[in-house]
Amino acid sequence: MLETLLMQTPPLAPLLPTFGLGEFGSAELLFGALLLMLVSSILTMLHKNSKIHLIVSTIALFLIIASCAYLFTLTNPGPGALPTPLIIYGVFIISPFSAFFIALFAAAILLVNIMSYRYSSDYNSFSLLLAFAAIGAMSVAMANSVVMILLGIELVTLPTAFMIMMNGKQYIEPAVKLFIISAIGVTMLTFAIALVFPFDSQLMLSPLVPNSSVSGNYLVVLALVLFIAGLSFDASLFPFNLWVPDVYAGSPANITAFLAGVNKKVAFVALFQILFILMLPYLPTFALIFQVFSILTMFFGNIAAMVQENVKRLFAYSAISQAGYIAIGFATASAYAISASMYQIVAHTFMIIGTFAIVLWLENKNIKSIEDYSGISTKNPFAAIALSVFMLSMIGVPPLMGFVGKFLLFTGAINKGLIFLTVLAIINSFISVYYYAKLIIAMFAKKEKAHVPSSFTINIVVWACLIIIIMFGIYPQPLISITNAAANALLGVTPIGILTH
Amino acid sequence: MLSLFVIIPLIAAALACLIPRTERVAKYLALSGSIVSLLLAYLLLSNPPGTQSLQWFNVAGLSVTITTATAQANLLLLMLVAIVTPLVFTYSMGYMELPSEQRRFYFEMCVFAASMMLFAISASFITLFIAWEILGITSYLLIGFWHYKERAPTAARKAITTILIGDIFMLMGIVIIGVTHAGFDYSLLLSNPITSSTQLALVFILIAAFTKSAQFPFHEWLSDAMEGPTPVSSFLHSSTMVKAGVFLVMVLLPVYSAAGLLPLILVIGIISAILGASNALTERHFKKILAYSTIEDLGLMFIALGLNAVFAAMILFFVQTFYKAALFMSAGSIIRANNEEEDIYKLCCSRNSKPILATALIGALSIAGIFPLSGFLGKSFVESSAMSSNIVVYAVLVLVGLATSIYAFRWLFIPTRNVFDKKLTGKLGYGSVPKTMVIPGVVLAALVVVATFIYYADPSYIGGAAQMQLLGATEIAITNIVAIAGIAVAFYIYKLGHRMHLASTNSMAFAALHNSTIVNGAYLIFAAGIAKIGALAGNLDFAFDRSIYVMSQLFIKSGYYMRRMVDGQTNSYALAFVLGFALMLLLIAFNLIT
Repeated sequence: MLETLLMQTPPLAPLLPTFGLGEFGSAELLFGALLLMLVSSILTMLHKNSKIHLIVSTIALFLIIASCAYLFTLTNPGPGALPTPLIIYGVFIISPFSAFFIALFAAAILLVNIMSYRYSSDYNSFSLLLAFAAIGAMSVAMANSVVMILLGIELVTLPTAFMIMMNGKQYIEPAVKLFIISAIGVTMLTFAIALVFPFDSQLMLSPLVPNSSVSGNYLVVLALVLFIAGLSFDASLFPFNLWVPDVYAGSPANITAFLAGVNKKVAFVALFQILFILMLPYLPTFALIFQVFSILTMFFGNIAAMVQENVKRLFAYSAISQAGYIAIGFATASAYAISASMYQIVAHTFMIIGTFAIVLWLENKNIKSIEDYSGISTKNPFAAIALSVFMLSMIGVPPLMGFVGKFLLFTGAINKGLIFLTVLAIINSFISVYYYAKLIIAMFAKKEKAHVPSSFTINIVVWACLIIIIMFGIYPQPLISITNAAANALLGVTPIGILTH
Repeated sequence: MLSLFVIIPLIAAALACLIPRTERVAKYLALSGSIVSLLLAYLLLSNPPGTQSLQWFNVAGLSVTITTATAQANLLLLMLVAIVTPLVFTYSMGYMELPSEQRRFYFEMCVFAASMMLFAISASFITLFIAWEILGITSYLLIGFWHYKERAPTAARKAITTILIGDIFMLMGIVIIGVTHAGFDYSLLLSNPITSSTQLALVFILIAAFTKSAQFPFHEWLSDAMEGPTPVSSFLHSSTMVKAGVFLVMVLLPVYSAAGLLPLILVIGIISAILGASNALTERHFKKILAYSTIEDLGLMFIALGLNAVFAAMILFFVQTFYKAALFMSAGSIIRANNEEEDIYKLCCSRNSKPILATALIGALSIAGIFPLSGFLGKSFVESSAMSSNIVVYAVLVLVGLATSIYAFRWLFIPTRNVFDKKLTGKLGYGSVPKTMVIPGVVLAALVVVATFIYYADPSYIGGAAQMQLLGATEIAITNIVAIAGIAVAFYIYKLGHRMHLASTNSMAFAALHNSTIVNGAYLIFAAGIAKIGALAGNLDFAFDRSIYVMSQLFIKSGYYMRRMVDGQTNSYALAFVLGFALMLLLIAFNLIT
């Protein structure tokens, strides 16, 4: 059935390239793997054997990553050339951009899935919800229409709320908060789409109406504001992020890892697509907005984190400040900075998932506050060292991945002349050292005899994150060229030459 | 990039030494690692000369590459290090006895050897700097290896301080080159015209080379570095690490020549050679004599470079490795037999010491420049290149050569005067010197001889054929006559015992010759001046610290206010949406106005 679907010529897409089976078989592999994940989740719901489910979904996610790697090379035209995206049925577009982010989400969800295996009250239903959320996240990454983005965001957020809720009574409150806030966000998005509709009835992700007068078009400006507001709540940009510490700290740590590692990144991907494709004519406007937002977000996250005692809450604030760094890419708005922003997204995804894996494991041992963390270095040296590495990477210490991301972001901002923004961002890095170091000192200052055994699944996740962070920190060039290709593919859809390096 | 595989066995050995409870096998791990590295280096010899580069990262128009080269000079240094490493590790098997220090020692030695090999094949300033810094750090760690000894930590600190001065200059030079050339490869420097900023960078790099290679005025750390274990002295501080500076200048010599900096190199080389020789004549510490001799050797190499005689410098560079390592190994054995006694007048020899003394003799003959040993080759090439270009330099070289043969045989004769009496002194004696300490020295002495004969048999195996010039009879005659005269003087004074010292210890002549005390005094004055500036900067730092503290309190206070925003009420979160909305509209209005 899938084949016949793919074989059909979509009526809405005149850009569609010839879509033969043999040549683009990997696109089917991608969709097949997505389907496999979903079907296996549903089937194992009935079967109640969670181990089989873990194996099948892991295989499916690996298949997704592999097919994305293939699709990336297939659609990547190389430097200087125009990208050759595949447009599937008018609603999905597979370009280096989408392949890159689908692979990233698949990797992140894989890690979240593995770490949740032992620490979830009902793993089967959890992973079914996770599979839905995964499909939502991936459909945002490969969306070719604004409506698809809206649906994708909804498909990510709703299962997340249920994932939080199903863990017990005390989790109903954060779940409902997330639900309400996301409802507001989705409403705003819908309004925005409605405002765009008169100008672009196709709602495709293509640059908005070059023929309509850009400067005087206040309805579209209002749509821009609504888009940013509707997505910033999930991207946790100030002042739309006040719910973040509350919900992040209130949820179980594996779902916090999902929230910070995938949910937030999905919002950023949607922002990339809407702002740099649809709203490209308004680039100076949203760049200014993001300059202010990134500064406010960094200061809010870092300063509030300084006074936190609960480790999960501390990392929630830290994730907010990292979102501020990622937003620098939007504020700078050059191809280089977008690529840097993508790099930082990858870095933060793995840093925060690794961190929350450790937090999850310790929280189950009832170790929650900074005071509880003292002496971890002797209780379990690996956890202490790994957590320190993640935190050092968040500070931006070479040779870790966070350093490279920040370095790219800052050089991009400096090249664009945003010296003030860069100075404030560096001051924020200083501030962040305070609370990260507080935790590191707490972990290593005291010596305790008791040994806390580590968990196998957690160890896998932490090792994977550690290897990625150290490897791409020491040798960043492969990932930089991938993000460059993704950024070029994002901007390549737009024929306008506004964005020059 | 294939050439980087050479260092992997050593890195693996170093990492293996980190595993707990490997005290007993650490030495074998290190030795096997070094032998595998030697084999890989040998395989690399057949590589065609050329450079390979790997992009590390390329951001904002600055391309940072890891570049390795397999030119003749690179392979020469690589082979030297690869050959000496297993010999030194064998020597260490006998020398380092305590099990508790095995892992640390071999870890540091393996890391050192690996970084030296990385240095040998590096062709970009990035790789160079990485290797350079690891060399400095391992040198520091190994000099202060016996940190419980009285003077070892001081010596290590002195070495690292001097070397770090050079490192800072090196970094400045590299940054200047990176900014002006948009890259760090040597080839960029070699292909672009010399500007004044490049010239400045080259001077900075030269200073770094002088600190690493212990040249005036940075030379005194090397004699103090003899506080380290003897394998370290014979490996780092005579045959490999200290030659890094010479090697760097040798590789960049065309640039230095184009920048007109050769006279500077020449002058510093001459001063260092004279200082090294004069101090070696009067020093009493057995190993320090050799250290000063190393300073002199390095000075000679810089003289050759200053005369733009790459070939002569390369020959000396090559042959010096073997005889100096052999001399240090025999020195270590003699010191071991004498219960770690290091005063040359208190050392004794005995019947058992013959292989050690033979090693020492070959080394001493070589360093004095007796035909046909390889030291002679290096020395006479330098002298002949001086003779053809600058007669004053030649005169200095002959004088230094005379001093060299005197101190070399002073070093050898004085211990042999005293016959070892075991019962009387209660010393360990030569019987206690393990075989593993004797054999590497013998092998090195054999290499001194072999290297010589290979050279005579096939002169083209080292250096390009175009640069080949077999030496004339005059140079051979002069060098040998001077050397023999020196040996005769040494024999007369020290062996026959006509006088104990060249000059009495409180005479003016002694003060002039033994000028290390003066140099050390100058260091102290310089350090005191720096310390004054440091105290000033400390006050500034205190003020800075206070301001940071005040600011951090401000931030923490505002943090308490800020966390109140997150009050757990969903309606206030929704209110924030409205505020954000208003903020965005304000910004858009602002954007429209401006």
